[in-house]
Amino acid sequence: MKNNQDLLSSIQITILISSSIIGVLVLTLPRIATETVRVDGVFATFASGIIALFFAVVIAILSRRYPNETVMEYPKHIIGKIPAKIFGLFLVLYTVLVSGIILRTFSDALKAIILERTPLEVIMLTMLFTTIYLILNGISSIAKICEGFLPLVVFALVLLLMLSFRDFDIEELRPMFARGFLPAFKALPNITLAYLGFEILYFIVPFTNKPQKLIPYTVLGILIPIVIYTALVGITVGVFGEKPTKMLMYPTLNLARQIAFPGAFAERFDIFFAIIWILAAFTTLSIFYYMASFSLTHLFGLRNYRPFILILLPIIYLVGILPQNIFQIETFSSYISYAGAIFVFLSLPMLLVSIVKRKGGKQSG
Amino acid sequence: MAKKLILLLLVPTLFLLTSCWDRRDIEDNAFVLGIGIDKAKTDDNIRVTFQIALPPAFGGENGGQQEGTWSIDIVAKDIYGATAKLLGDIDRVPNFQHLQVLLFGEEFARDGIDEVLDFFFRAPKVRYRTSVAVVEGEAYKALEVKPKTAKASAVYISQIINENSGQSLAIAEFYTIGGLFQNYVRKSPITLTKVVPIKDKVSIGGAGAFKDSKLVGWYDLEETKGIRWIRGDVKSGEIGVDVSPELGERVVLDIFNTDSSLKPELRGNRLIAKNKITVEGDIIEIQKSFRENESSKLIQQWEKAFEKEIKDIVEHAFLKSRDELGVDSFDFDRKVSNYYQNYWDQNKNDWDSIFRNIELDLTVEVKIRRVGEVKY
Repeated sequence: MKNNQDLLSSIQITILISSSIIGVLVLTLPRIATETVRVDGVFATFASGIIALFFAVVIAILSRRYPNETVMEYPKHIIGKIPAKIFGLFLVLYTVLVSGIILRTFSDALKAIILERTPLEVIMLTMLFTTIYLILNGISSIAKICEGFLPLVVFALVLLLMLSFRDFDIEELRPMFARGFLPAFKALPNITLAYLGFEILYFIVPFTNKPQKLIPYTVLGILIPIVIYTALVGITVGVFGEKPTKMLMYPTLNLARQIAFPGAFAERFDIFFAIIWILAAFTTLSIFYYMASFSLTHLFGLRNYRPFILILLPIIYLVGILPQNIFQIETFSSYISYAGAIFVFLSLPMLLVSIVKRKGGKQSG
Repeated sequence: MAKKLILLLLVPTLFLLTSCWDRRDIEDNAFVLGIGIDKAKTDDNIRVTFQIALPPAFGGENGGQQEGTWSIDIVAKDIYGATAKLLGDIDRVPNFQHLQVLLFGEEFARDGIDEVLDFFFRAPKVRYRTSVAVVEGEAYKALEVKPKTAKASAVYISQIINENSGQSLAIAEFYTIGGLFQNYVRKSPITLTKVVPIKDKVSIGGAGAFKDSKLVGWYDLEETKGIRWIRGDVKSGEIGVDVSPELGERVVLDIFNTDSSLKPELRGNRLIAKNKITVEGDIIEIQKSFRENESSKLIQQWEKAFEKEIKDIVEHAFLKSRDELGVDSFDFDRKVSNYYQNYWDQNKNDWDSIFRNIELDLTVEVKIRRVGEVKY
């Protein structure tokens, strides 16, 4: 299984994690964050990030205990064979659903913004085929593509935030914690979805060349999205105000639309931003699709996951095409984010059980 | 074998990658530079004037002689309906990506502009930096103007609103479409730059005050200055003041930096608008100069005179806005809702009567830094 030149370097871990987190939801995040808790959404975004960071570290520690196995194998040492299979099955379902919903969210937004008259199906299929082409080459190719794309995505986001800063008004953030500290946490379930993606840590440990250095690079990989997301929500609210932010369908895109480029040589920054955003959506979708096909393969106890990529294609497409309108997509994705939260959360009890079992001397890694 | 099969499967996707559906050659676009909206003669209809760019006139040396734009009037029920009707009049497809200015006719504005605004927020192809203004008289007349310095009147108007507002106090760019959206969502009153068409030019200055999206009154040039001071969107401009002959009779200050903060303060049950204005400037003109006194001795007195002048302008504008029009033109409701959220949530329905009772607590500080190239 280990082929030395295909192993992931430590910095690639960071990049994979950041790329899998920063994705389609960048476009809607400020709305999602402010919808229920007004300006406290800025804090909620930060808090969700810290929680994500905690669980990412837990997953990293857990996975490092079984350096030659992925999440499809090692749970059987912890919770037993049958529950491990069920866990695996749900993981397959979850990753397939997320892939489908990412695909649909992406295509819908793209259709609304740029390709108005292009059929949705065509956008979806084009994206799917491009993704397949990438993931057929395995995780190291995905990591290399992410290495190329992530700097672009981060650059575009930072540029967007810097150019918007001119219209930033700190007063718009004023009534923060108007209802106290706790209500801010009401937004956490909604924001969670934006941070999901670091589950990739469940899968990549056997492919890393220095598993012992996993944790600092994991932390870095999550810190990048935390900083960007918090700044994004803060600046969007500071520019538009809390009320307009939650009424905009794609607030980040509107932020890009109202930018006056210095010198006015580019009138439409939003198009540039939308193009870079496609790259972000592409890497996220690739990583989830990879996880889906990888976990499905291992559920059947097989090794070669390439045929399963093609098997999953129609399924993911169907999941994506199922929702009838934009509001169904939103409901759908909020349910899925709960499922994702459960998978992430399960790492904690698994880690505890695994530690206890090893202390009892019943099994060794 | 499997690899070849996959390759074979992937080849047809190339055809999908050309994205023919949304392909439109640039010559097929009718770039709309300006939109004017007036009330139509028949009830319930609007008259939309589209100013469309004729690209040959904008490029190259040969462009000089040709007419730059084509204005088409459409009567329809809604904006998108007007766009659809436009397709019957022109062999191209309207494109709003370079929209420079959106103008409302006076009569239309008095009936309320909210019915058409939504389109400009919702449609994804409209530029958010588009300037918005209200025209004294009919909007189409402002678009009919043939300026000598620009190819299209829409470009000419938006250039004045956009660029010159940074240099003059009386010309204000109150809202772009993007900025308007925020007030539209909050149901806050808006203020729009006033455009007056005169023969072959327009005169821009002053402002129209809107309440519930209806035009309720005008601010003249002086009042507009005051409104801008309170709103804090003044950057540079000039201000003149009449003083005693010993001080130079009339002194003009070239302002290069202004800082204005407006903060609400709740004292008991009364709302106070605390406004602190700091101005930095250079003396640019003195009508009776070359006197005995060195400028250095007069600076303090000039500063006092300017402070009083600015105070007068601001207070006059404030009273006009509060008492005469009853329109909150300073986004003060927004400040109150940010600073006193609970108070706002309880009282937002009575905002009109609360606004009529607010008081202005004004401090002005003028600092004269330089006196130009003449010392006395």
